[in-house]
Amino acid sequence: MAGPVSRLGDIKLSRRRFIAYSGLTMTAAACNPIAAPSSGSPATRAPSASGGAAGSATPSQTAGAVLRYGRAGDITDFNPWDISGSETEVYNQVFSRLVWRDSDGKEHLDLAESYELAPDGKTVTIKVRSGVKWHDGKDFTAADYVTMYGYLTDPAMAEDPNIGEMKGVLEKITGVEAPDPTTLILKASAPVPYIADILDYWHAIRIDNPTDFGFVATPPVGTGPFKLTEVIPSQSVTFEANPDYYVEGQPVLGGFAISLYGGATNLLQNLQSDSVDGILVANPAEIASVAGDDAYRVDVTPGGGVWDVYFNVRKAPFDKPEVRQALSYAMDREAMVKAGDEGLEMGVTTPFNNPSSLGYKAELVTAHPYDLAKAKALLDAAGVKDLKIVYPSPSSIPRSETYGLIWQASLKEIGVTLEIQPVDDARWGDIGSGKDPNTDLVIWNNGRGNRDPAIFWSTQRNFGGGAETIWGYNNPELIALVAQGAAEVDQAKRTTIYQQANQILVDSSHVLVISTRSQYWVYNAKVKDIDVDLIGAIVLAGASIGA
Amino acid sequence: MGRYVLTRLLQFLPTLFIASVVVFLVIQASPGDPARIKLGPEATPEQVAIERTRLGLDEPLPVRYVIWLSDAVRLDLGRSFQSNLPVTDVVFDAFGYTVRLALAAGAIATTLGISAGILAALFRGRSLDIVISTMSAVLLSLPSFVIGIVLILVFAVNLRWLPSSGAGRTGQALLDGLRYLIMPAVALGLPFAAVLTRFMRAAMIEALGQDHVLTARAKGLKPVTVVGRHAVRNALVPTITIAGISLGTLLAGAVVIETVFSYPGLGRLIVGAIFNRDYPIVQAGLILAAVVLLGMSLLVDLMYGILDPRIRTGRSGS
Repeated sequence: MAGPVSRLGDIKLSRRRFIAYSGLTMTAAACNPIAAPSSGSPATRAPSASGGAAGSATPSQTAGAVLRYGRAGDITDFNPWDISGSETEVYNQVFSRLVWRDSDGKEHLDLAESYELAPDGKTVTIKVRSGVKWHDGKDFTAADYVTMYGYLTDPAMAEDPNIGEMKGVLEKITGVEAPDPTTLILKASAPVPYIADILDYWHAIRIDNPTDFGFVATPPVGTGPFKLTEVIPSQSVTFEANPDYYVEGQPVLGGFAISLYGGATNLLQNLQSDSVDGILVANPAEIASVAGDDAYRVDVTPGGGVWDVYFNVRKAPFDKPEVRQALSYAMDREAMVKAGDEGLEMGVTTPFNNPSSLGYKAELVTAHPYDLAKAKALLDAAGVKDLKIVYPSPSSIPRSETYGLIWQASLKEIGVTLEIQPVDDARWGDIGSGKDPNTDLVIWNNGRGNRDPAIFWSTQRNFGGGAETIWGYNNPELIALVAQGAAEVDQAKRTTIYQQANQILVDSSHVLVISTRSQYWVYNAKVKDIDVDLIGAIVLAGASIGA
Repeated sequence: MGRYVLTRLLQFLPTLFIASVVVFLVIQASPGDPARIKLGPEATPEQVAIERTRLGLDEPLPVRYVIWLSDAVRLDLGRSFQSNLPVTDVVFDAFGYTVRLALAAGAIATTLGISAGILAALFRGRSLDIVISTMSAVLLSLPSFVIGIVLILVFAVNLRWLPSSGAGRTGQALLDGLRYLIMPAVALGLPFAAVLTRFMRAAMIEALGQDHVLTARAKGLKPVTVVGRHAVRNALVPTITIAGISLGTLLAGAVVIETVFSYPGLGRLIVGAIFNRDYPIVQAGLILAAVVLLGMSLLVDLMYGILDPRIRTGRSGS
């Protein structure tokens, strides 16, 4: 594969070794989950996982260097509350949060110095850092979080989709108080055992202009390591180091500049022509062109996402669980990820494939190994013959067609016809929204598999098995388990509950998970110490560029 | 002349109206929900419904058109669905880049095309003519995006002389800005130059054989005067016609070239907006393109009059 493939700068890992490595790390982390978030339990850490110089530049670094980064597509929303947004390069540079979780799921205190969840799980007391300043020089205090909570009920912001998304995350929080500048108290209507994820989501923002939800017209004001200084739509976004950043010696970089390229077709050329120092590659096949070149490094960041297929269970014979299982057994996931993802992904059958997840159960990660005989037997038992399936394949996602072709060949051997139907992205979006009742199935992608399962199920509504499931899947047992898990304070009990839910998901749900979904960053080898958070967003506070 | 221009301008109105209806219907009736695209795959149906209302997509199509048209005649083209920025700002910013690119490509094409066409005609049947004709045939057969990719691989990736994409940053020196323009302009201009070369060559050969040119030669005028004043000037009329007609092709080519080079012009903007179903941007961008094409057509007509006074006065040459 491409030169060094790793997540962290100097560690050379293949994809599989990386997964194994991170799995071990996460298992260790899972043994000591948030059960002990007592005062100061998570370490306060400068966001530089690879141990790079968290401070001023060393002799091997270029002091005050500007990291030039190129990305496909425009940035149309700088608000980190846009939870499903894809601006993963921006959020952690401009904004801070109370707690952040790294790619291994480990917690790190950020704006919070400590936090404590009351035994009943309904009150959280947070000690907030003092001496923090917003980018415009104003003091940041706990009262700013009270103001932010007020945004959720401000009629002037009612139409903002970002506010709507944050309302979902904070739905159990009924009150926020700041008795003094460094104390913040959150009160909830029901236990919030997944409070670390809430604190991780809650970036500190200031909406000074309620008509500019996305901070596009005027640069956002945050408390993070970089200030956003200029946005030229469709062209560039420029950041400069925040001299008042509260972590001593950070940021190391003098600035950060994003060039916005319309399509993803020429991103690599920009890196190869030294126009930029790093890019995010959408198609893993492109990575092959820098294979073996020591001038570049590829970082694969899993981020907890999966590629999957939704079955329309309102339509026969997809209403039968055994038919869905048969189609899962007929899926050669290993061949799919090898051909479609250059082997950088893993074939999996559940979104809870990361050992750090409470729902993780090792035997469910690859629960349906490729077995055509079993698939045929299941179809025969269900009385299904000459099945024809239409598989819409979005044009912008090459792996979708590759997956489809491999599945098509396998299914043909057991008498099932899979018709691959190319569709444009907008049409794909319509199909995925359930607008076409004749849909057999649709390939889709979902995230947050390494979040607390309560967050996963509250955001991935189509997995839930209830009235909100647009594909007609309804499972009262799953609904009950999800509700119990979100309210249970005992971590051991939560683990059991979510593992049961995971089992139902794999055995009988309408979602057939295919593979993990990562992000692929390619950097100039001089770029060092880039960190990644739980959702795969980069953290540049400790990043540097070698001399 | 003034009356002629005014009449032509008034003729634009029904054309633009028809164009606006077609553009509106085609984009708004195509599959794909802008609200769903904006909010991403995780958005719930409730969130999508709220966003549709916010974007004004709940209204029936005719009502949406009337609202859009009444705003548009007041030059209020709305806000981008994606960025919420005023469409007028976004579209005109991008248009500025396209104009820059088209002017640079046009300058390259006309300079190269007309010069090469004149030389080929003057050296008709000789080695230079064969080289020029062969080159123009090759350039005509190559799509501009192929030329663009070759330029990127040679001058950006291998030689690292020029940036491979974008338009640079604000506040940069003029020469730095030009570096970003060179390859897109060359890629866009070369096929256009090949077209002009062929037409200019044919027109020049015809002009050189005409009686008034032969008379000028017989009068003993200097060859430069004969060619420059009598042949080239006549040959330019059909060539400019072709140049004017080809401007539409140049704009269409700009869409592809702007995508290949990630150049932030109108073409790239419209393509991106179509994928995102950003209706206000697509509508404004396409209407602006229609206005430009109509304007160019008028400009070409006026150029005829300047180059050939017989056309302006309605006199025939016979």
